[in-house]
Amino acid sequence: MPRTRREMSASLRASSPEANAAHGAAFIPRRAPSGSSAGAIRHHYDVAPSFYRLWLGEGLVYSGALWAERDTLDDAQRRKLDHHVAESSAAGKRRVLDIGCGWGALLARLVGHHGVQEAVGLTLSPSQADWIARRHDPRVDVRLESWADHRPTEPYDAIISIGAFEHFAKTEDDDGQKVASYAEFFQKCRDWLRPDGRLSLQTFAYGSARRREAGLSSEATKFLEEQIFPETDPPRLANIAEAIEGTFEIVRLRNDRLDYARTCREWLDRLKAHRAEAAIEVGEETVAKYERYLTYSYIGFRTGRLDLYRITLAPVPKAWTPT
Amino acid sequence: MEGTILSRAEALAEWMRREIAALLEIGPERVPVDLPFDRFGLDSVAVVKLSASLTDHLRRDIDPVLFYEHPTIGDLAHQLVQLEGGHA
Repeated sequence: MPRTRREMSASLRASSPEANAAHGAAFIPRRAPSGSSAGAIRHHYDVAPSFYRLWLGEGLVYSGALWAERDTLDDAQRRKLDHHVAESSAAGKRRVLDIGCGWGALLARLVGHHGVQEAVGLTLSPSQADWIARRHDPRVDVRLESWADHRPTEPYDAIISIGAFEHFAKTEDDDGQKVASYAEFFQKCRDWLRPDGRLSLQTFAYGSARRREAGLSSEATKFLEEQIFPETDPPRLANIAEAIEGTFEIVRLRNDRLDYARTCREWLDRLKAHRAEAAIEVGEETVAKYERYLTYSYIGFRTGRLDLYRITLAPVPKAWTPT
Repeated sequence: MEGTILSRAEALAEWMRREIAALLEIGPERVPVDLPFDRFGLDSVAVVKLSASLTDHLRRDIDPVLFYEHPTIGDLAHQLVQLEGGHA
């Protein structure tokens, strides 16, 4: 079970937003200025890690993997993390930011395997932040903070964000509001990056097999919105393309939706195989809900109603102004 | 149900045609057995319901993912009969 916030804040580093809060600085917004609220994120991600471990595997990586034919789930998740490290040129760098760091698999990989000196992770889930802080790795700085409130004191050499962008807009947002939220995110990333840095982004999105309107009104989407990911609506590729205008250029773009289908299949098989243990952790009703969610997700990625984008982005230099 | 694997697969395929025809509100003769399931325009919920009907029909757990791994009526019927070792 997650410990109390007071216990947790003691385990976070002095530079953390929890510590900042003691000095009157805002730390967790009641609602992020755009996208899912902290409460909505907690709804999904503050479920006991012991439940997630039963089906996500030891690495607790909760996003589409990158599969080679003979990979196990753990191999494919590592391959995915390493893909983003390579695309963002993060290896051997001094400071790297992970936006939506989950239970810290990428942070650990950056400092433990890729020689990064300092890895900063942002999450809105106290349970996840606590999980990472308990490792006491001095090279890792986890912050219970939205990207919208992040104020780095130094630039980053690379930024990676895997499976967080999906939460940056809400179902009731129209395209204009979504693009505005995404544009704000990209602008911040551009401002935080060194000019030769890269942003490696992974997000699922509405695919082109069905118009968003049809997807939004489907029973499966309603179930996911109401039961699994409140206040969350994924982007369309056009939203992302529009939102980067003036801040980033696309270096590479891949749609690996079948990789996500295979990942969902693997998660579903594991959850079914551990159904009894999972029910002890979270109750039978929640387990049934997750099986349904993973089945719908599998079908979505398999049929192209959902895509999985891995996008490598280079910052557009800011306009020179004479001083 | 008695008969060869082939005839049992055909019977199962015919049963699936009728189920899909009912979902689409068309005649079974208009449902091709060699068209991928995702071309029928069934949404995820319909596919999950179809797998539940098939589960009742065969009295064994049929995972919805099978509709994509054996993506036509013919493929799936053949696979299920094979898996049952001729006892479907």
